[in-house]
Amino acid sequence: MLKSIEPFTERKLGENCVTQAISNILNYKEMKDHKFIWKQCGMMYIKHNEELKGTLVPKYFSTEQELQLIHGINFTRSSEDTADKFIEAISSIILRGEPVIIYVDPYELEYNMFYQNRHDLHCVTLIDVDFKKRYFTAVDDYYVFKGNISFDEVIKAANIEYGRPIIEDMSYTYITISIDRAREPENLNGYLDIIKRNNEVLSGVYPEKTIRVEGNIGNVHKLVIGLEGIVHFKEESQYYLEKFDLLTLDVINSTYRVLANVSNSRYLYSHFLSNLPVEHHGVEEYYNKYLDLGQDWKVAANMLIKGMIKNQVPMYQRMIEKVEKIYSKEQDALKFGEELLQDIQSLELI
Amino acid sequence: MEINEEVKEFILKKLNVPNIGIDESLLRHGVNSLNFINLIVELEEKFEIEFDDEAFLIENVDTINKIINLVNNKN
Repeated sequence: MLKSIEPFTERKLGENCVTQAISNILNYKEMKDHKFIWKQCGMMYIKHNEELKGTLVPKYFSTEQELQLIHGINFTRSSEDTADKFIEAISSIILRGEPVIIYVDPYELEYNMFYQNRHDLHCVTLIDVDFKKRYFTAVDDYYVFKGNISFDEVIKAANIEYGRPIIEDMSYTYITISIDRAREPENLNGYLDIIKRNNEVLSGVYPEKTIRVEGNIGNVHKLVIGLEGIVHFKEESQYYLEKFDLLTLDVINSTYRVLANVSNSRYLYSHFLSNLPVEHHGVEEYYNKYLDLGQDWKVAANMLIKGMIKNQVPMYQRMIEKVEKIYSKEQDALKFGEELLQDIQSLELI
Repeated sequence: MEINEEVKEFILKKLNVPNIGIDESLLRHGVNSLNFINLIVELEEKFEIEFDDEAFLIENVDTINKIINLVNNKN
């Protein structure tokens, strides 16, 4: 029963509010193996015309496609242009017996620790609606909350003016998940194709025209596909630090998000690799390499949180040095993955 | 007050979590990177210590007990 959904506290490493909400829904729908559905692990450096330094982006195709690949999960993202249409649309989904994930700014959510304090892009799942009392019952997996939120509060929170650099307007946006056409994981070939594709992106040979970054990326001044993008990120961050004596909280905050996002992609990819349907001695070492990388990127990101509190410039410098070390570990993991792939194929394990 | 008890009380107060067990994961109580790093910085200031990189990762130090050990190792 939809109302019985509780916050999903079994958070696995690398999950953000969206992946956690999806995990909870898949768990409610009794889908097996939902821990292993996130499979993208790329790297690009994207810089826009107006920017002094760019951003690292680990995802190179859409979430819709990512969940379809191997697992056949339908992820549908929709938006409405007015509050009334939004309330009507999400209510009708709930009345059909389906949970609906909505994007919100926690700045407007009274239960949230960042209420009237800090803007962010977040999501919650709505599982019930009461038209008479005008409220939804919401589950927030990330901040471990279940309770009622009034229509007015939902409207305010879903009218998102704040957004991350490459995502344009996320106002009145909602997500539904269907597993009606979900399938049992394919044979090994499907998994190896994904590893091969990730490796092509990481090594920079993936064709630019097939890249699909989510959201509107605007006028790109510089696009570097592959791990080489990390070098550009590091050098331009260093340049930025030397050019400006004072780092603004916005710069530190946005850089934190970039690094945390990369960290999450490595953690989630390690879960995916841990579920490879093949007996090979190298698999465990392979996914542990990405687990380590998830930790390393997270440490670099968290250095910037500390930088937001105190010692901004030294912590930013320490982050740059950490990223330099991570770059060689990324190269090592890529080389290992390429050799492992060749070995599995040559042993005709497929 | 014994240092272990002092650290525990400090953590519970700063993170605003109920009186949870010292081996229970803080992640289950809505603690995230932001309030966790805040806590780490405040612990550094209170006990006049500086933690190594491992302390930047809540996954490594996700219980009160692990944080107490971290502080004790630096004292």
